[in-house]
Amino acid sequence: MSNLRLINETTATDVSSVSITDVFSADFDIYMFTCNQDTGAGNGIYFRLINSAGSVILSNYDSALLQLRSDGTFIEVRSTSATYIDQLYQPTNDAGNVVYFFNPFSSSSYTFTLGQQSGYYGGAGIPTLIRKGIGVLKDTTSCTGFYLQPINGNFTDITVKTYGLRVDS
Amino acid sequence: MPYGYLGQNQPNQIVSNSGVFSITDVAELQSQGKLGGSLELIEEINISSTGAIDITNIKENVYDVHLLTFDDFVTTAVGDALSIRVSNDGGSTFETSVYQYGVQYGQDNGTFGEIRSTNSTGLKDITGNIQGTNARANGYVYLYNLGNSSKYSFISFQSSTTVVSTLIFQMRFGGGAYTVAETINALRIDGDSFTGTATGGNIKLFGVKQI
Repeated sequence: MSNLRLINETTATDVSSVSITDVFSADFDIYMFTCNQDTGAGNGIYFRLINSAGSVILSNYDSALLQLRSDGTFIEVRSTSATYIDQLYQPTNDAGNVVYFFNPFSSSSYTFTLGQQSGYYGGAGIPTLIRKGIGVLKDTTSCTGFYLQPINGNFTDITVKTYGLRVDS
Repeated sequence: MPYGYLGQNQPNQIVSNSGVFSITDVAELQSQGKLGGSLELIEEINISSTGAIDITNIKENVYDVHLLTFDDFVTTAVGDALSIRVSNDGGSTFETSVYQYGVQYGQDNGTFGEIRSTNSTGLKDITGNIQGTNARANGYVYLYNLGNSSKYSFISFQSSTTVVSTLIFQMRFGGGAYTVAETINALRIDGDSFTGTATGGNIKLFGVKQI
């Protein structure tokens, strides 16, 4: 057996946001999610953590990433003390993502993310767009889930699968 | 009844859970995605002769995310990098246009750079150019939406390569797209010349489990 354990699979169509709840626990330290999504509009995605009370956390996020384009110069994107982790974007013609979480459930350490995305952005004349980056919630709040919301419009379709990385003791 | 209670009345049993799963237990846990691993090996290829590597049973109707790993990959041609083409006819032919990609690379001698294309003949430059004695490439590629006839297919990847005989190390990461919405049901792995230059290494294709 492999060390990935499927915890949750969420599929939705034509929704303004997706909350993946009750996936982080004391069972795992590291988690991964895959996401196949489409929105019909090129823009960013509000990517946030959800605390153990079920509330979406709206502050204390830092991010840094490299944005690669198939048609132009690559750029660095960064933010501090932001309202979301700037790691994912919404495409006009589909995208695939893989993101790791480190220590999201811990109440004594920050939550870190490491992610990559490949998709067809479609906005502002940009075709295929790739992102690879990191993020952190600079808060030791214990998190139990995460939240995705396109800045512009809805997810026309989205599938999110969340896995825990098993540790044998 | 809790899982694993089959045979609970065995003699000398201290606790009533025998740890044996009934067929009903297995079926129910499988339906919830809680039984078994989540990386499911579809195909493993140990390259023992020179030529393109075609994978024609990719189970695209089962998985919407695939993971392809490669280690010790090497080609016969100087300057070839591991590259991928897709097929919509089970591997009878492989598509030769409308690929796009972007790649960032960095070397241990301080050289960093960008590679990009908006109309390529393949998903190229996934690794550094494999050149010289002891040159090898290692890495992984995630593939998305292969089996979805209404979506483009995408990849994202990361690799580590020894690129020349002096053993300069190069990392690459990036992604790409095949910009036709159609079902992809076979993959070709080769050097970026696509002339059948793959000659060594190990390739594994996994499905990332879904319910």
